[in-house]
Amino acid sequence: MSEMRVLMQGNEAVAEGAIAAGVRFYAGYPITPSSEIAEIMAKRMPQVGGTFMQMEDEIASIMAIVGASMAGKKVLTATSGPGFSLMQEGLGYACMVEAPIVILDSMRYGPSTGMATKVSQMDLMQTRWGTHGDHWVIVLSPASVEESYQLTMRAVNLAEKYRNPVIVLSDETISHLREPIDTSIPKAVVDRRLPTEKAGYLPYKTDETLVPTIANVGTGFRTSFTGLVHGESGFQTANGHVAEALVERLRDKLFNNLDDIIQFETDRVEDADILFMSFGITARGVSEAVESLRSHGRKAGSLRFVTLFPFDDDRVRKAAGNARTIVVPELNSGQLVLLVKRVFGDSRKVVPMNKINGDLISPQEILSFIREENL
Amino acid sequence: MSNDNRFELRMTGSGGQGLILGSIILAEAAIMEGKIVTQSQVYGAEARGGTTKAELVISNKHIAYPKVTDPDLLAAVTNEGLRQYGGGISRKTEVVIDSSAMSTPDFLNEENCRGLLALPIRSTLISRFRSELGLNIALLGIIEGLTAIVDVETLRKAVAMHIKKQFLDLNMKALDLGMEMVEAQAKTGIRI
Repeated sequence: MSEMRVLMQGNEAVAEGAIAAGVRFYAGYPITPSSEIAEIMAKRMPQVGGTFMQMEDEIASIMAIVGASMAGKKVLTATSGPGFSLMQEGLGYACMVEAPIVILDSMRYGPSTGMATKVSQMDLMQTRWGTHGDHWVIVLSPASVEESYQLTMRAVNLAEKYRNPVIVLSDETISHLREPIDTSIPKAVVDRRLPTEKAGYLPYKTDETLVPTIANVGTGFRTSFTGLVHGESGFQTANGHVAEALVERLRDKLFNNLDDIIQFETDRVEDADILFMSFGITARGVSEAVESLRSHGRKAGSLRFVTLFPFDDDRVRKAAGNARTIVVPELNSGQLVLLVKRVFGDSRKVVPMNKINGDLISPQEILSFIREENL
Repeated sequence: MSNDNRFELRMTGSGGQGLILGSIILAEAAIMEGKIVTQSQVYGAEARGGTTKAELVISNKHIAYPKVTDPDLLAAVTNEGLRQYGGGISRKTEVVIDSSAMSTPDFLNEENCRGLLALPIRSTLISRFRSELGLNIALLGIIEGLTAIVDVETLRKAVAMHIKKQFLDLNMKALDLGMEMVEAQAKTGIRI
């Protein structure tokens, strides 16, 4: 049978997607709504020859996966907003040392410990700007259980390819939702490039890809890494030229490859006069609303951000067609809409639609909103 | 399945009664028959003793919005469950309650639901099996009896996938009991 569908929960799909991509080290501190990932990995890691570590907190968790990654393992940790806040220091460090790591953030209601069992999309900007300093991360946003599997697999591969932290930004609903997934999804595995010559080896020397070939710790190479600004040797420097070149390279290694990294899902954008821009679970209410509007003769369309960051204004502009009105529904007080407004300025009517009571935006609510706002 | 190709089920009761497991079993059965499903639940402390809710959407095609918005069937086995999650129903909604453990809800009438079916689920289980352990599966039997949403044999297979061997016989009997109760509703059930 080419297609084999099984019922799976979102969190389970993340764990299995990670394992399929080669993750063999998980360190974490369980937190609702991501806890099942830790539970499943505690069972699955020993089965596949991997290691599971229950850590004392989220700072230790991210540091453990950075360490394991630099020693050559493919790694995952999973958390939610409160734990993701604690991980920010380690996230910046991972950007700086160029550790391929994957963090699953299942968004619950915030701020602080908020409502542990209620959904939100309030961590969007935290994924981008949660840690200090100019830095760049890849953020992927699944909208279903099957996509949780696929995007976690993709996240591991992108992390390895670009030696960069990748965040899978899920939410309470998708984490706990059960849907059938096709287990015959082809597995794609990308491995990091490694150095071959010990003579003249410099851990942070790069070629035209701008991605360094850092030796895994313990493989006989004399290696060094630090959160301080460093040159090709990996040792600290306060040289402004080196610092500038380093931070530019951290950006360019991703921005030179946006075609590879950025994915949108579009639905009938071409002739749309009203376009919805959304991400994650909210896009599923949008999808039904678009269907309903179309069935009533309204030219509606949808653009879903599968990749949220890097966020490329030109690509968004090109993918958005000519819709005069752009509605941005999200489960927060207005985060994605800030980016959409930056892209379009006053050239389109950009309308935020926000819900912050811990429930999803239903298709019916979107339709009522369109009516009430005369859009 | 209604003509809009989407069947929506909400079950509510008390944490520990197995309603979430019941919704998962029905979901598995539907998948075995090639259908698409989305299953969800309230999550957290509620699932361990408080009021709980399990939801299932079954369709022949892709399900975009995964939550129940206008249930075809609402099955409640506690008063508190019905009070907390009994809203959001319409004239499309058939309501099933356990009359042996619940008072007849005063807010339901011909105007706001399709019908109320009150069945003495717990008392019948206890009189037959001296146990209410199969409550969730008896409820699945009632849902199957009312909707024939999947083939009965498929449902049995899905039950067997999830119930431990030593409890399987009791649960299969509970499934049959649920279906019998629907067949015998003219005698034992109260309908509005």
